[in-house]
Amino acid sequence: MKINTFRNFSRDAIHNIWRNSWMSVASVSSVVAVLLIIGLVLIFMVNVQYIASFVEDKIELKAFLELDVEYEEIIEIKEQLESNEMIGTIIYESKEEALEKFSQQIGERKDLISGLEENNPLQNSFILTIKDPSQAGEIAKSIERIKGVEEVKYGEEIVDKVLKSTRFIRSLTLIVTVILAIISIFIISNTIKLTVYGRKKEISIMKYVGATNWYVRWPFLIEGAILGLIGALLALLILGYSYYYFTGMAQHTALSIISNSLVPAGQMINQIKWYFVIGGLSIGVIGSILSMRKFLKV
Amino acid sequence: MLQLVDICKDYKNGHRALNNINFNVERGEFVFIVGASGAGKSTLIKLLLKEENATSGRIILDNREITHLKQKEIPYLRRNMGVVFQDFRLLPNKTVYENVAFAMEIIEQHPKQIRRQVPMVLAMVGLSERAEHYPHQLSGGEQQRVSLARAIVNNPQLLICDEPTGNLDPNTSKDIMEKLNDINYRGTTIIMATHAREIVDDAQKRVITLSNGEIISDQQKGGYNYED
Repeated sequence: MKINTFRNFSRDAIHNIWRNSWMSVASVSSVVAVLLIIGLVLIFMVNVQYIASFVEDKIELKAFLELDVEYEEIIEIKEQLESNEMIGTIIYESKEEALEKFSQQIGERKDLISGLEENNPLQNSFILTIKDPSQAGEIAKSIERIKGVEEVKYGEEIVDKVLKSTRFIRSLTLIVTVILAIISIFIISNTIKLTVYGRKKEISIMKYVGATNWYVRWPFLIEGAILGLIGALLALLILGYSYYYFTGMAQHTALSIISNSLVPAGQMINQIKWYFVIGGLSIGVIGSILSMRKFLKV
Repeated sequence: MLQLVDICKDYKNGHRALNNINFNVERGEFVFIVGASGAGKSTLIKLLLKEENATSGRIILDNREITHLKQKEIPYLRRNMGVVFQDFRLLPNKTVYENVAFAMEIIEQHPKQIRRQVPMVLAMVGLSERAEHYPHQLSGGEQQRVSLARAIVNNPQLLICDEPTGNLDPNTSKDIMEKLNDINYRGTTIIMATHAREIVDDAQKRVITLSNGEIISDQQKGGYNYED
């Protein structure tokens, strides 16, 4: 496409938006409406991920060592753990430390464990964090194979539950988003169809003079893209401001427990802005392609 | 330059619109296609413009078989043809100048070329003074001259006219016919579907007469010999 042609297309597109200003307002409004709904789902999802990542970060593995391991062996085990790429931090907890911790935990009833110092029944252990929580089970198994390690414990049930529920919410939001996107494309294509219908004659003239289908499509595509983009920016503005307002307001009320664990507004807007821009653009463009199909058959 | 061989056209409802149409058109010819409504004139025009495909037979333009073209190729074929319709088909929101320039923009001509060519063509059809007017400010005859200008601005080899004088009074029709003759003298081949008896009789050109989808006569320097 030549530069001049592109200039003509953009000129035509902007012309049309002005000329059919009510249609344009209708198109933009439906983009805004749909993106607001998708945006709410998106914000929900981002927050779920955010909270889930907290929980996931807290997953710890505890590797108990056999009772009779020597100091040199402990060093060796530590080296082996360090060479495992899946493991994040490694903290050694000797049985004395473990007993100390335990006695602090039971507090007043220290008498229960008095005398245990000489004959400590607890084990030396390593406390590990892992990089990918979904791999916890397998990492635990591989550590258990290391000589000198008796067993590995982690909160299997909690980990499984967290992972399952985040996976479920992720796929649910994906499905909801896809359905909403399809509905919105349908709405936009119908709105644009009305403007295309109004220019049916113009399109047929273009085709008789020898315009290619793409030549006819481009101005409508640009029009759809502009409308979609305006809609996306408006929706982002509304949603971003509401979210900012909500999290700010909630801070001073009983809701602060919730709002404090939510993604901060600035970060949220940063994270969703490209989804909105791309979403708005594609809704506009796909909508206009769909709406034109039957008018190109001349 | 144009050959139609055994062309038949059946519509989906089973109606046979054209039956065994055979004729050749030489470069520079001026051919009238006449016949009553429903005789098949419009169908024939549609086949030439590739708006419809023939059911059987062959159409050859400039030694190139165009009977079956891919959807993509049709625009490029149409760029070799100019078209004039009964209802002018001008863009109401563009000026006379823009309407004509539009045909050149579509095929991505250089703006410099457009600025040179459009005034020339407008002068040819006698509309230089009307360049900045909008179609609704023009008379019917003037509007048809704009659509003529648009049809020839890209120098097509073939000009197809579908009842170009159908909406015009006799004097204006004559004026349009003069313009068409001018264009024909410059070497453009013209095929014109019409049922304006006087025009055909005056012109003394080749006349192909259609009736019920068949050619019933094809005469050089003919007249309108079909009784409505």
